[in-house]
Amino acid sequence: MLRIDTAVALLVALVTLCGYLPLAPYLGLFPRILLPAALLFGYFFRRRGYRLPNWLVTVCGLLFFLFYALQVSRTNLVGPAADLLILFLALRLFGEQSGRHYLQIYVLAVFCLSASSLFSLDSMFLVYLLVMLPALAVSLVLLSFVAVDPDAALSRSAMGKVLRTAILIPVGAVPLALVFFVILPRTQYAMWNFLNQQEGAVVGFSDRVQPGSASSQSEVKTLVFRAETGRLPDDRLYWRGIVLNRFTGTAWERTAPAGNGLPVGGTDRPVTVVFYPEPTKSRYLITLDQPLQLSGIRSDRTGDAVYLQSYGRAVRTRYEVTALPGARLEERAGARMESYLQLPPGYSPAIRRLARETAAGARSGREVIDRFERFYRSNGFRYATSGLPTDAHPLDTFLFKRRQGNCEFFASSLAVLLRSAGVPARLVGGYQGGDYNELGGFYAVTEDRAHVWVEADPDGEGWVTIDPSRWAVNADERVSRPGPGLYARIRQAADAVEYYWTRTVIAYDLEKQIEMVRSAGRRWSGVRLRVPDMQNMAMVVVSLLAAAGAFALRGRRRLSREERLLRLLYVRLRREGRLPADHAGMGLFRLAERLGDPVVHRFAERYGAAVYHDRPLSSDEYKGLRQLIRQIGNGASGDAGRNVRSRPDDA
Amino acid sequence: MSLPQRDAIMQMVDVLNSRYLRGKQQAVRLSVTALLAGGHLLLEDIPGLGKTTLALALSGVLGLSFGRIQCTSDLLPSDITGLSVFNREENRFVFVRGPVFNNILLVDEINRAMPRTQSALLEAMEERRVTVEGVTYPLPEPFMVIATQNPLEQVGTYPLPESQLDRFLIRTGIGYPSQEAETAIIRAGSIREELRGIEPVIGVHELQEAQRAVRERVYLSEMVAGYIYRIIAGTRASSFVLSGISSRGGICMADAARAHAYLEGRDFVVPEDVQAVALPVGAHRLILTAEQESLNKEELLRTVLDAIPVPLA
Repeated sequence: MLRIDTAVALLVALVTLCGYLPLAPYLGLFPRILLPAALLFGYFFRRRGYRLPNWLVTVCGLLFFLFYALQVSRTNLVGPAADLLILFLALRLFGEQSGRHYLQIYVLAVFCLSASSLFSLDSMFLVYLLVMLPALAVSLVLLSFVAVDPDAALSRSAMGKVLRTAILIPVGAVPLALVFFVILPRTQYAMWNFLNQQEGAVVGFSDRVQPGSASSQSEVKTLVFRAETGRLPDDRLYWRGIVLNRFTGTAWERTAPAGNGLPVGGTDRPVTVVFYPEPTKSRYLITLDQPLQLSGIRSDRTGDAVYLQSYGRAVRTRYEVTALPGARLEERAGARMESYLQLPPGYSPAIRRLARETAAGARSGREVIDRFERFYRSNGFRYATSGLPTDAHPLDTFLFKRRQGNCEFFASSLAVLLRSAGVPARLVGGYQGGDYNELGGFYAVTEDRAHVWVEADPDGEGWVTIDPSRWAVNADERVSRPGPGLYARIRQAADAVEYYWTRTVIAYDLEKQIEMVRSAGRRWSGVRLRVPDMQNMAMVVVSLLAAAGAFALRGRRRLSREERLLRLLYVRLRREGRLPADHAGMGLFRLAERLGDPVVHRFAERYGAAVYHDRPLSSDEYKGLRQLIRQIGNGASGDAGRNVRSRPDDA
Repeated sequence: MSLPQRDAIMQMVDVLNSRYLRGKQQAVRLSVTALLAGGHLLLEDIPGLGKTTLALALSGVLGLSFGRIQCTSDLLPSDITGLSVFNREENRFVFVRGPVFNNILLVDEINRAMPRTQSALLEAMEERRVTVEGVTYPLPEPFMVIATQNPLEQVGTYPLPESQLDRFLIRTGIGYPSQEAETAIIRAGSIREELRGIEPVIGVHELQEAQRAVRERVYLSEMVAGYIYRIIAGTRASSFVLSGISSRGGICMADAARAHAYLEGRDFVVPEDVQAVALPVGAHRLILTAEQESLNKEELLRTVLDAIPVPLA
């Protein structure tokens, strides 16, 4: 026997956790601790019946409300509200609990789960929802038992029956949910995080490269985007974001670009990549070096092959890029390249001297680049993300003293050297490499992959990609990553799930589906069926239907009249609550004797007279017996018996 | 549809139950069942519960001739069948009929007789005739043996072999009557004197007609026959049983079930009839394995019976 209040308490804990867990990462410290405390309190003190008095709960609730209401501002609205929800939930768990309070807990938990979708559109939401809904349905059913008898207990089988019935409620809601999924508008960003993004620090990719602004670079493994494509060699995986073309002396910035390059050369075939970026405020769209075109989202291409998302249009978190990895960006003839030689006046004589000396006597821009490569390689430059130069002239320190820095230093210094030597150069910011997910067939690129490299146009043949970070003595260390261990593989699988969630649920698009149906219709209308085809198809359909019908009726057909009657009788008696538990091993006469019901006895006599004479029931007998069954339990059963006796004579 | 002579039979049962045999309804019913089915009855119980009274009352209300044998270890077969005595006047042997030449024969304490005597008796029961000195004499119709035995007595008894137990259609106990019935019995004292003056309620012809009705008018469906078969097959399959119910046992069960249905006023046998007679008809026919001899045969048969689904449709 299972006590119902125990089951309800378990379900309450489950529902509470489903509300709390998805919200937990976004909560303040106090609510984050108080709710588990309340659950533990409930667990240990439930049996002793110890509860906070109701007035205390109410007073605490009011105080919390006042405290958080004061914190609310236009930019800080959802955080305090979420905290408050969790605190109310915790208070309710501390307080006395009866049917009404359980319902309050359920409502608060549902609110908490909904609130979590303001912070994140993680696929775990679905998991919590799928746990919470059946738990809610079951405990609502169980609460109705508790309402009648607080000490009620159910046997295991009865509990199983209750569970099965209760599960029907959420299962029945599934078709409705599917309809809503298709027709309701949705957001592709977690509303609150999206609006709130300016508050978080920008990590990794940025529209300003300022070497020497910090002594170390933090590496965050936050996902930036997923790119669905085949496997590519690592040195072709340059995810292009932004081009920085103006050097201020301390930082690289972006101004309106000159020229209008188009990719040429590279791999033979263009590669198509589908991008699923994580929500971001940045207008720059990540592409693959060198992009040919971008579709699926309204965007503007600038002359240096940078894509900017157009505002004011419906946002979509999916776009396609066609790219030629490893290609050159060829400028149209007569493009003005002077701006790519710009350096602040009087900038670093030491660097200019180095550039002049290295480039002296070179016959082509290409040779200048080769010489610089030799310079980097022979002087033992190291790639490092800490211990970066932070003094007034960080590039000088990098080139002549420390000789260690991150990609910003390598790229900035090379770009400055190239420009000093008269070779047009610019910085490209984006990401390099990525973790290929074999399950999903996509690259997952995280913030710590943010990278800066150089594009140079040495001899007017087009912009080529140069990554000076690869010239560091320890470049291999940076590139090579630990092989896929078990943990990494699990992570990959989880990531693939998340990816499909994004693809099918978050980025779901009604227009796209309708378009698919339409195109399928067009294709169908193009098909002309010959008559024999139609006949064959009709035959197949008819036989399939017949098979399905036979399958559906399989249980019924086998029942004879007698069996149907018996089933009716048992169903009737069961509904009356009079069917003995051991009726299976009982003859009809014994059953009638046990029940002491004259109608059942008459049924047994009439039924037995036919069946135990090896004679099938006639239609009249069948009808009469059915009528008898209907009369079971209808008031004075003696009268019922007499009524029936007169019926067949009338007929 | 009405069954011939059923009213008379029921009246007889009523008379027995209400006037002479209070608190023995079950035993009376089974006795009448055996009578209607034309079988013999073995009453097995401790002394003093009314075995003999039951037999006397039954023969009394039937208005049939009645014979009685009190078995002892020196009882001879000729004491049962009768013997030829030399008639000096006629100067020849004359056959003097023994007690077996009666419609109802009460064999008291049958297990005290020697096997030889038992054997002679049982042969008469089965063949319904007696052969003495080369001459065969038919027994009267109807013929019914009511034997009693005391199951607890061990010394000086010759337990009936299973093959001979098989000849009894029904074996039953009588059991203690209910408290009220027993109080009334104690107050009224012994009714042996009354039994002597019992008025027959039913005659030979009526009884024979009723027996014929049971044989010919009560229908045994294939379904119920299958049920009986499954029961006897079930006893053969049981691991506790050395040898289960024989085909004759099955026939007996069907006959008894017919008689039971007749008593219930039906002209068809239902599984409940079989269930009602299965234990009294079947239990004494089981031969248990040596290790399981201490088991109660009726309980064992009931277990087998409960496991078999009742045919309903």
